[in-house]
Amino acid sequence: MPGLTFLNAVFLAGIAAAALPILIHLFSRRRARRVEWSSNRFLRELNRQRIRRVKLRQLLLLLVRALAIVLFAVAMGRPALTGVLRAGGRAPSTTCLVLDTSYSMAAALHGEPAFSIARQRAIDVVDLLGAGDEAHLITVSDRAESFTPYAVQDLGLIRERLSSLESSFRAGEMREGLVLAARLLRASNNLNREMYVISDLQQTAWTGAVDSVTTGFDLPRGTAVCVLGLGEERIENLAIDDARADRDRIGGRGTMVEVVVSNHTDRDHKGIPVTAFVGEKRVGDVFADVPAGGSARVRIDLGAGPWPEEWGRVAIPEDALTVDDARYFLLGEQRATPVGVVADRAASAGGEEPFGRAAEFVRLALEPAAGEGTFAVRLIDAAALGSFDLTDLRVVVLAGPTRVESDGVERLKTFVRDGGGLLIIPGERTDLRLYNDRLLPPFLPIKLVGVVQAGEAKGAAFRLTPVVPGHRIFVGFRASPGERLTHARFEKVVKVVPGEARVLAQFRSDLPAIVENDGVVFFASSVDREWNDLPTSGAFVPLLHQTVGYLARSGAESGQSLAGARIERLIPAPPVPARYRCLGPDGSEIPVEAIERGPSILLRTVEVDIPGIYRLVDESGGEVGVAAVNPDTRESDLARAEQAEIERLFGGQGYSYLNGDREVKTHVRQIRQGRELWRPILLIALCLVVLEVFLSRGRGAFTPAAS
Amino acid sequence: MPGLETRRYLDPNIISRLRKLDLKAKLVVEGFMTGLHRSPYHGFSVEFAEHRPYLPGDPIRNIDWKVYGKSDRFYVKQYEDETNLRAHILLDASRSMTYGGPGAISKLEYAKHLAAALAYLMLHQQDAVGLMVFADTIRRYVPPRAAGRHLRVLLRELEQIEPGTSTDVGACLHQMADRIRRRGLVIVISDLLDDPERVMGGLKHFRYKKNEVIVFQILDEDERAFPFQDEIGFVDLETGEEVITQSWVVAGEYRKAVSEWSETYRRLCGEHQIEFLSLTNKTPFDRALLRFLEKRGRLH
Repeated sequence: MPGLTFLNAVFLAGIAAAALPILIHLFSRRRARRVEWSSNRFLRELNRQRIRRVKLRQLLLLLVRALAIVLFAVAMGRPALTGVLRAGGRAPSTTCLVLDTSYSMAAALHGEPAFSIARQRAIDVVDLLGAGDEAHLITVSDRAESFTPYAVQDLGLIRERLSSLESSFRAGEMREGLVLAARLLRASNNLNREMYVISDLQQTAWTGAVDSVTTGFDLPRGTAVCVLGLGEERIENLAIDDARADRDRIGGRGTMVEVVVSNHTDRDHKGIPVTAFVGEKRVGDVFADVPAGGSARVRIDLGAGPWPEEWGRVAIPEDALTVDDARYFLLGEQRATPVGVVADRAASAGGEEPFGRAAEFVRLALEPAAGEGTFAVRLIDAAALGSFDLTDLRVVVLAGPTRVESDGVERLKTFVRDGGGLLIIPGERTDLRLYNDRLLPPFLPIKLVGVVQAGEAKGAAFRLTPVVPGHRIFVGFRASPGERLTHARFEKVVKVVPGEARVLAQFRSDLPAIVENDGVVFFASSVDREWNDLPTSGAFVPLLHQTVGYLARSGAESGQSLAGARIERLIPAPPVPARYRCLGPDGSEIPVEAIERGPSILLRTVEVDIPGIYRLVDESGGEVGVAAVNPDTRESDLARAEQAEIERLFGGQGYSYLNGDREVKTHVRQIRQGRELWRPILLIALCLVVLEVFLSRGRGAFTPAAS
Repeated sequence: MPGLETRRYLDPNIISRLRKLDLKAKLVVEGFMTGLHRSPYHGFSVEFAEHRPYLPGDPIRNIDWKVYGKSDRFYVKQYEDETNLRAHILLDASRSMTYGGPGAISKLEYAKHLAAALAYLMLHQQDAVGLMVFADTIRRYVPPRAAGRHLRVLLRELEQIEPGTSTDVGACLHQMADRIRRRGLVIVISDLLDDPERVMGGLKHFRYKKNEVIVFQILDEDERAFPFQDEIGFVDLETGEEVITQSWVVAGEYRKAVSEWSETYRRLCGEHQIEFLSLTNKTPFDRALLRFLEKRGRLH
């Protein structure tokens, strides 16, 4: 709560001096003498008319003098409104700096990257910290990282770290940073706690924080929060969202690269030149007309080949954000991502749906035609999961199996630990108790409470709405929180208690629909048309594709990776064990491990940050694989999150917002030490002094000399 | 020079140091007369009693050629039985008249001295003089007589005056106007600190009865100048009421109020052919006496 404090309280003793004018006035009054007078006939009337007004004026003069003295004393005491730091700002404080390092921060703002401005603001905040204060530095892109696990009192370290920071090529998830900051502040024993969030407020990075219904973001009471925003208005940006060589036309029949250009502005853009390169050689270009807020697909003929390089690049003219004005692609044969679908095999062999309708719907959605499509589906009997080799798979989908035995769970644990993605979908016959006891605990901190029906009335149904509309699995779905993602109707759903898991969509505020946690996603309804009509709705295929694609983000088969992810490539195992290296686009060596996967070797690097072409080479320098790493274009729309939403996020307590070019230090100083009031109070006191001069000059002053 | 010495007795402060009123009266008048020799008012008789200006029809044999030789004006000797002026001196002895500022005699003392001097002057001119002392009522009344020893009676009355309490000038004037049977000269000596309408009512009563009236308003210098500069509790001498005021605040308006009030009397008196002279207790007596003589001169 805002309060009042005095930084030089000793001067408040001067308030006692306000009694002086009163005492002088009282003392002078007692000395009035008596004079015998011939007649009061004239004095009586004059006194009645004049003296009353005069006495009022004198009283006002007395008050003005006393008040001026009081205000001078108060001003000398340096009063300050404090909302943050108690004890006049002398108590130590724990400060969390949350710095947005997502790639939208590379956008040019007034001629320089927004991140440069952000970095300087962070340094400005650190400069205001004093002896005894401690600080955390948290950088936030697609994950939040604290510079140190403990608060640092050596502020020089923080400055040094800040000076060396650059924006990343990753998308942002501000929620992660805020949750981490809140946790660190809760762990502090200091009286004063502050959080400074420095961000361009790019909408998709903040959407998860604003709309999240998960717990964990729980600021300690009394924490002061200051959001230092960068820029004022949305920066216009065009971006290349995707670039893929057309695998249907590979093999001498000419190759096309399909490019998706998106327009994140409020006006149509026509004739945007899109240029394709193979290696460093320019091979062709086309012009794209992209509507405002929309996207356009264009195809560029790369020619018949052969090409000197197995990779290429498409580019559009650079604008404010250059990171997304180019995209790398691979020309080599691209394999479909292998996906395993686990379901109960029917008791009787054969039949049209040996693994049940759920598995069939999933298979058809992912691989409509055998050997074609982005995914290659393998159906797995749930009862045999414990003995199935999952190493060749990228994603496993549990399509409503009744139960998963312990050995199957162990397989899945190994699979997920090794980087595989897991999608769990319950069904009519799913044993929820077994799921709670055995399957879910290693992967998701959720509890399945039971099956909930939409209602008794005919036609009653739940609707699927996004909670984190900016999440990758909802790309292409233009739905805001509260708006339906699909027209599919859900009559029955599983009630989920999400715990620490992140809710991505919901049926109702108390009924999470899609939750995720670290490479595992749970969908809280079936896909067999028993509980809903989702499989036959238009949203099923894209939603399933994007969910599976999200879980398989390493792109081991396609060779495409996103900045911030690990590069994985599956290569045939050599006859003799070999050592492998990964060379980045700047020639640097990236740590890589080789994991045996039966007849294959899975080469997996650490997380790579820089977009470009990465080469996997063996000991002899021979190239064994190439990967194209591109930024996640979620951040390309530079629209800003609503300030009101951000303020609501912090509950209004101790919240302040600083935007644009306002002086950071002044604002932060006011937050920390409170707004000093001595200037306005001194000004009022001086005005009172001037008023006193005018009042005392007029007739009716206290003394004859003054009149 | 003896004349200059006597002139100083026109100063009220000096005359107040003398003890006996008769002496005071004598000295005032002599001082006044001495001054007349040097004044432009040559037409007045310097021989007290028995002279009056020549009027057409008077016997030439009665012209006093000595006086003519001195003054170039014709005066005839007048016998005692030709005296036709009956004068009443009405003296205000209310408590307000007892006020006197620092270093000044009280208004009452000044009034007494003036009354004594007027009585002395008139009796030596064989005029009949009476005295009425009033405050809220008529306190003392001495009928007019022209005998020389009447002066001692008047002076004794004057010396024995004790101030009254309150003032009711108008009522006393009315009473006196009723009492006077024969018309004559009425000399009012008062501070007139009363309702002007009531006072004028009384004065007009005298005029109604064909009397000539001279009003000498006596005020203290302080009452005109209001020299006070601090916060004072003014205690009314007559009512005891105390008004605490900040003098410097009201001084200007007070002076203005007193001046306007005095001017009101002047104007109203002028409208009714009443001689009005405003004096302070520091004004030399010759001014008053001169005004008296002017008036008396017009009467004959």
